[in-house]
Amino acid sequence: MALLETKKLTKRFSGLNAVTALDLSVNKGQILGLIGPNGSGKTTTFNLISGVLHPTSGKILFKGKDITNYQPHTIARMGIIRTFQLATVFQDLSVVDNLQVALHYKSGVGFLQMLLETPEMARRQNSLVLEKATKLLDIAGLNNLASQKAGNLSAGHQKLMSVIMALAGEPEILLLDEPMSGLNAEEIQTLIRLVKSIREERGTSIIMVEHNMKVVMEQCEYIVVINFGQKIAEGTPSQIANDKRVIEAYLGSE
Amino acid sequence: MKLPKWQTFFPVLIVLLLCLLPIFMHSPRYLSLFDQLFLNLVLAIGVYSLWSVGLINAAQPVFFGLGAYTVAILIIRVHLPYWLIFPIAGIVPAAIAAIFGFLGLKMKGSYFLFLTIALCELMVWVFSSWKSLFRGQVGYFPIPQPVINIFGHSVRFSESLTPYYYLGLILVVVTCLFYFRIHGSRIGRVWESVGKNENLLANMGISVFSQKQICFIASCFFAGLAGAIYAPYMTVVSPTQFTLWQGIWIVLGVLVGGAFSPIGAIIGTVFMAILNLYLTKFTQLQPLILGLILFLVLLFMPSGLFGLPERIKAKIKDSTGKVSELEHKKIV
Repeated sequence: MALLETKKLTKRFSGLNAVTALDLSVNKGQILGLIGPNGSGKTTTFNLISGVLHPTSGKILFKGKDITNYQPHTIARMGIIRTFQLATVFQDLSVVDNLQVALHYKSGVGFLQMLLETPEMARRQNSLVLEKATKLLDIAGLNNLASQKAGNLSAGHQKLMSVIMALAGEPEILLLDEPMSGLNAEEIQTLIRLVKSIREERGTSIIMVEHNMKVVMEQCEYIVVINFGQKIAEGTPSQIANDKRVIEAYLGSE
Repeated sequence: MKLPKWQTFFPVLIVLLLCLLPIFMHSPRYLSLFDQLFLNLVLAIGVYSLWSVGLINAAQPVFFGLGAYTVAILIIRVHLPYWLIFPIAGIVPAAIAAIFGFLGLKMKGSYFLFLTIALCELMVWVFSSWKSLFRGQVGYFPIPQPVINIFGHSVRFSESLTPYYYLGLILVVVTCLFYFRIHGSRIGRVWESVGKNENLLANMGISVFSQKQICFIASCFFAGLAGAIYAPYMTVVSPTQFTLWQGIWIVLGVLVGGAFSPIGAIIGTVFMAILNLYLTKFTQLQPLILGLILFLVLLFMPSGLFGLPERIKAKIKDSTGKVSELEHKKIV
């Protein structure tokens, strides 16, 4: 059984068919690429899966359970976490505080508990969270920037931060929305290494929306191509590379 | 959150001084001023807290009034003892906040402000018109003075203002402990992020709506408790005591002091209280002066009085990019 499936997923915005009858499926530990020209409906698909938008029709199934129309925070709690193209981190908080917020839900400590717990319990809780935050920062190599204001970091570092912040929620599926955009070659390599190690060490499935063809072809095991909200092709990277419809849709792109 | 020694020492010193003040100062006028200040501080910190999740609440007097009316109604008509009514006076406005929240909290910040303005006007009308419950313009008068028995001593609130002073002081200290604890913790960071990027938070499994609800209910709970002290202290509860004008005054106090920190809310409210003292002679000019303050603060001092030292420091020094205590709590 696929980990995540969409069945005939459709989203219409009064007159505009953003996504039409899209069938996607992702298996455990798979890296799936979702590609298509600008405006083809990739981000809308992510918005639908993560619950930010509700579909006009169609279903989303996670581990066989129908999660269509669930709230975004519920979907995140169930194990589907995404990154955003823009506004990826909390600009005004420090790097480590960003991580702390990201870890909040998983820390299992609610409002009432925070009020009633003794200073000793609070200290222990906080050091646990700090430990987890430090480990995540380690994975991305950002430890030396921990007390910096997140808004002061370079775009590449902020992207790395957003990925580990998504990791903090211990997702089963990671939705990466154009993770490579705005990064230089070195930063791309770092992010690729990060994504690979996530998949290898945690078995997390990854769906990547990406324009950088080189990265997609090299990293994704399976690719779905959409245009005008509809799936026009799917297959392994080599199949896609030779598919006439895909080449046509991308005429002029990298 | 670990505070440097002087930061814990200073507030303790202030509280100690405030505890000792009535011994040296018997003038009821000054005791009264301080008591009013304490109650206003409780209201202001609640407004700050909601401000941190991106919502500006001009209707704090509504919840304050609900607490006061709860005490009036339960003491006079149901004859419950004061100590029992006191927590109920916090729960009633908190419950109203929860109901109002279901509708109001789903809106964007600016709409919420308009909604609170509307709520304030609405509740004043309700207080005046629902005569069977609130007794209209006349309100509840006189409110019997509580008698509390502590360690065998009877504290008679009717004899002087001193018991009210201490009750107010206790409430404001408890409120401060509560809010400084919360806002210094991870929840404080979460709440500050609520105001800024809700999608990102939802993605972390945090229900933004629930966080806003919790914040709102807590702030109205404390407002109600302050109202519970206000009712017997004033001996009268009537609709004219809870106006939108007061609500705006409280919001301005938080803004002037610095809406990014509970300390800012305290400084600003004290500032407004002192200003109010001088302005009692010029009631005609009040709106003009308040407008002027608002204008000046928004233009030149958006982070308020408490934000001034950091801004001056930042202008002098080169910024190293390191997060200062203040920097990562800026409102603007």
